[in-house]
Amino acid sequence: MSAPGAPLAIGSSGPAHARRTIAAETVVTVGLSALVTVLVMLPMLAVAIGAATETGGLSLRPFLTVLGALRVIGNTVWVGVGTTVLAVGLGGLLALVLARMNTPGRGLLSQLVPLPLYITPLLTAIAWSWLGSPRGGLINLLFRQMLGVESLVNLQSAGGIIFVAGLAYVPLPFLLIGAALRGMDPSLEESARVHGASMAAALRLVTLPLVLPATLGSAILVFVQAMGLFSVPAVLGMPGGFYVAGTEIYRLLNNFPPRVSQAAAWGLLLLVVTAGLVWAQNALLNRRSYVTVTGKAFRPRTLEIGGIRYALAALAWLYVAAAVLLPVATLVWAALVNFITIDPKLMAFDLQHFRYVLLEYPKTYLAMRNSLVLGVAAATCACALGLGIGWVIVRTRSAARSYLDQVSMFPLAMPSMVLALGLLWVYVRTPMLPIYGTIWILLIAYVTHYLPFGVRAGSSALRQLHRELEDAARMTGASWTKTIRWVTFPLSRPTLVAAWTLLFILSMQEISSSILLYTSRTTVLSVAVFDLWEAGNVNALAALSVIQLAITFVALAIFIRARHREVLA
Amino acid sequence: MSSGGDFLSVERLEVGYGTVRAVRGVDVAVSKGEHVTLLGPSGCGKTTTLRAIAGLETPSSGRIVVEGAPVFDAARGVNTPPEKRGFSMVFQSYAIWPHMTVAENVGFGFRVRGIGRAQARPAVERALSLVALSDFADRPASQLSGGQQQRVALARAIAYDTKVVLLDEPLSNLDAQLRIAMRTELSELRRRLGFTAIYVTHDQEEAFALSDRIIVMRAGLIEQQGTPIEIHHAPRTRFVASFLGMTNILDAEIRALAGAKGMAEARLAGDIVLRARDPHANGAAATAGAVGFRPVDVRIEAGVPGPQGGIAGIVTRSLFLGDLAQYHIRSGPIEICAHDRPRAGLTEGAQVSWHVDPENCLVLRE
Amino acid sequence: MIFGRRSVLTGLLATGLTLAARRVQAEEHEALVEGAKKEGALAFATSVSAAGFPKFMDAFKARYPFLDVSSGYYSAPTGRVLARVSAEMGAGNLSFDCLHVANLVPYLEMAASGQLLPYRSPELAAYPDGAHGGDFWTTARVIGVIMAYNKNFLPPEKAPKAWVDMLKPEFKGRKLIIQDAPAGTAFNQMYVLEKLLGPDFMKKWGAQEPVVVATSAQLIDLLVRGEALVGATVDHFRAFEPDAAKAGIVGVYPTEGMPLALAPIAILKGAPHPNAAKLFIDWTLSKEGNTLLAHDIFGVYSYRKDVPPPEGQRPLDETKPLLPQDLPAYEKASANFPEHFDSLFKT
Repeated sequence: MSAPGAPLAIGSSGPAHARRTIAAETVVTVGLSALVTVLVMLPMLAVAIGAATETGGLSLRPFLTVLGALRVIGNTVWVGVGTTVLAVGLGGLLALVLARMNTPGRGLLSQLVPLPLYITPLLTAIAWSWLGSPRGGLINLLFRQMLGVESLVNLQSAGGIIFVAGLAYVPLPFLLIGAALRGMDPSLEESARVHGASMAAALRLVTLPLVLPATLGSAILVFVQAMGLFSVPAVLGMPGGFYVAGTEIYRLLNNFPPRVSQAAAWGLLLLVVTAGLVWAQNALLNRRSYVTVTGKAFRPRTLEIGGIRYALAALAWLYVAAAVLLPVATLVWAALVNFITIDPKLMAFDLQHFRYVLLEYPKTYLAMRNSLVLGVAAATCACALGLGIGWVIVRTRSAARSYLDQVSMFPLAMPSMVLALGLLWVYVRTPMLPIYGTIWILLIAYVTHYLPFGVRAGSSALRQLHRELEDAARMTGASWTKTIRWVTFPLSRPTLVAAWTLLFILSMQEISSSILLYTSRTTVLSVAVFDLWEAGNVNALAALSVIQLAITFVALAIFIRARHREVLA
Repeated sequence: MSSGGDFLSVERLEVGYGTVRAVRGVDVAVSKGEHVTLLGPSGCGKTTTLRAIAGLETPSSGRIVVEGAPVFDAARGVNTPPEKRGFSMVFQSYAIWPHMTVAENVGFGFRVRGIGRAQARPAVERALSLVALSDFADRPASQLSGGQQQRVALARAIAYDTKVVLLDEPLSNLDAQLRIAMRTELSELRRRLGFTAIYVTHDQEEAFALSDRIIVMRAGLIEQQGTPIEIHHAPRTRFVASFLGMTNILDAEIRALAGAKGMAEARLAGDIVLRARDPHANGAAATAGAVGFRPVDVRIEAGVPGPQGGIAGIVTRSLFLGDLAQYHIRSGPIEICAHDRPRAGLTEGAQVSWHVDPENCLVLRE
Repeated sequence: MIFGRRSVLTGLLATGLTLAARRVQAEEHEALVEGAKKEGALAFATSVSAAGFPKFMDAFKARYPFLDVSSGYYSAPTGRVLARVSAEMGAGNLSFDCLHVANLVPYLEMAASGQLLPYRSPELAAYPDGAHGGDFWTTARVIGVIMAYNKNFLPPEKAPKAWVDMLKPEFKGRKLIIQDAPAGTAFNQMYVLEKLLGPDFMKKWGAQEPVVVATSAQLIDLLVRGEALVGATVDHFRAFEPDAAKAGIVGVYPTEGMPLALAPIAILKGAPHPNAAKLFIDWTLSKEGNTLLAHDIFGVYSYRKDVPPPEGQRPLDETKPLLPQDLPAYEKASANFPEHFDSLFKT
């Protein structure tokens, strides 16, 4: 059987069997397509049906009511645009300042600016509501005491929502535009300088157009997220009667009687708008911007700027202070102080709130365990699915490719509260699948919601992986599954680990869908925090938040150490 | 080498994706122990053909038969997965798994078949010693140089029992010097082990040095096949000739010479007449075609042509290349390129006389 | 003597009957316990969010340790609880047994449409007629809505005394705090006040531009932090909690009266654990259970005569309690309340 004279044969491969085979690829492709359809299309369909159904049959009234709510629509767009402009403007500026200019402390600052990614906007919003509410806000109280002004800032307003949400979303454009700036061939800029352009002109004429795709991409990403925002406007908007789509949906569902069809109609409206934007982005950028960079290591020249660099560094520090240090410090302070006051005579510090949260508050451990379990499971499932779908998209010529590619991106355009509503309707009607009311429905919601991130990570990991590495395994006798297990998976691990960590942390923070799907047994940390907020128990809330942040950062630290080991190995 | 019948045969193979038809009906027969090279420029379908044989591409029609049993048959819906075909492959990118050691790479074929490390060791060590990498067994594969990775890929391909080794441009990522060294090593290895090989390259020298038989491909079809000497000596078409570096290819009117079998007279533009060999003559009368000859086969004399003949020309450009000089010579409407020893006086504008031995001048078809 | 003998006979007869009734009751109770043992769980949906509420569930669990009372427990704002219950009922996949929210209307609707399981608890004897809707539902807690302020930010002499005082110019522009439409107590209060003081009062109230919060607890938190001056939809017990009092909160019983919201409890038709549900109803309405729930945990009123009024608060009949009179109109108003609320208070 072996080639003549081949002396190395110890096994015998036997004659090649001529047989019909259903390739594992086909099974996987069909299975994944079916799974994605169930995960994404089914709840979407349920929402669409729910939006068009009122007691007594089909009706357009929910839609018309929603379209008539011009004020809320206007608020939503205003918050969306404002947040996007602030986040992309500041994020882009910081990216330029920290990636390309001789700003003092740029190394440390580059590490600090992305940190808000790991702090849920709910906490930032609550902290800022204590700092900047119109009368009782700590800032206003301090200034009233010192200067006698009645009210300096009012963050319980559209401006406050934009301020907090904008700060929270700065890391997205910062990272995407920064990657584009770093991945840029410096000779492009240099040739502009050689041909007579000033530094400013080179920036304007060469650099900025080159980072336009990343800018636009991150702008759409932020806008889509800001349109479906719930936690920030819940904290800063609802007390002032300022509603956006996310809080309107929440309120419609909480009302008695609940306006379920209207909530679904809102969701569908958001879905259509954001799906349109995502589609436009893809059409406009030919879907390049999301994938980080070429991977080529350029070292772009640092632009020498004069004294203004101190001002720019101060701006970056101001951002870090406003988005991270001040809110976290406020939470820690509130967790330790007896009650929120600026009167030093009344202030007393002890651990009673931690004691309450850790020993008395009945939800803490349950929520912690559920959050950890869900975080691990959701991140793992989303990454595994992402790798599988990415594999079909990148490696096969299957007809299902573009279907999987498109449909797995839909959740990006679906506010997670609407997704949760759809899931609720789907699984309450399928009692043979015992998912409704269990932790599984939360898992399904998280996995669906974070599927786009998993797929992006999976496909970009595979794009970096030469397909011949997999072919070589097949040619050495490995089946498709062994190839995936022994070659594809270990080699895409660094990208997947990074994606996993991000998804774990995002899952730990998820609130919008959890709040519709949880039961007392399946409550999660963010819901427990929100419960405390609704219960007005602000100090306990602060203590629980500090614990939540600690868990997040411990997880992050473990991950960073693991990654260092990986790099060293 | 062709004794023993067809060990592997590819019949009417077509591969297409979408609207692109990369391979448009290719027949290849390989005998046991034979080294067959698919040669052609990029995009000619040679790699696709190889990958279809490997099972890494699914053809749209045709058959692939190994030892009488089809591993692919579009008509009967047979498609054996790559790992069940019993081939091995060396890739252009080497495809060495960076997360494994050298020995783990080479022993992978044993591992996937559930053969223990200890049991596989002799074969792995043998394969590594054959490529002179025994000392590197426990190195992480990612720390090897390009040439070393290439050898690991080779060792991996021959470590486990294999029917055919498929090689996809294995040397193209190496620098020139290393390429020549590896070429020699590869040829030596095959001489010792005698495995059957299908080799894909766009480098004619590699093809000549390694192959028993060369198949020249163009646009998804086979253009010509034969031994290296046949191909080199008698390219059939203008495409093959130019791909093999016959720089001088001139349109001509061809007329068979009565009495001299396999010889023809070629009338070029400007009424210049050359005598040429026509190994693929089929007895047809005068046709429009071309003749081709290599620059090294052009003989040059200074001055106007003497009584013994030769074609008058003027040097339009001369380039000094070291051992050789390259002369561009214009004779009326035609221009040719000649390689000869550098000679004083053959500067631009100089009058020369040139000729090509009929044995070295070939009639080419379209 | 005949008279006496007769009286003795009657007495004996009565005692015998009572004993017999007791025995029947005890047998019925035993049957419930046996049934509940087989069911093994109780699923309770409620809108209560009091920090001490787990004590109530724990006490029930201590009586019937074989019941899993935590797996099916669900607490959320009233609207979401009811949305969930109605989604489950619509899908024929009901997981809940008992429903307890601070809004009477859903009970009226569900009783009328046959979505509640009738059950005559032996404890019902201790409740006045107005406290229950036939055998369908019984009021477990009575919550009054009052006003409150923080004396550290508003001197008592400037504090409002009556509901109409809210309309004073000094309380215009985010100085008042009200609860959002989903709160059952808010609906009840606004319905009753609109009947009492007229639609014009409501419009003027809206024109004061109050701050809107989701819960009464949040309202107190804003008062503590001085975010606004007067709480105008205060669940009365919140104003008298020790922490609130320490922070300077003072409750005001408005001179026009205190609207009362009823928080009934009922068993859902199709409940998966009907026996456990009946035991839970008995426990909630019992002297011990209701004292724990209404008096100890919440500090609210109970319709049970033997449950004392909450400490430090006025007895119910000194508060000029206000109740909706025309229940059909009350139901109708509830159906349109979210929109009505928005038209008044949403900017």
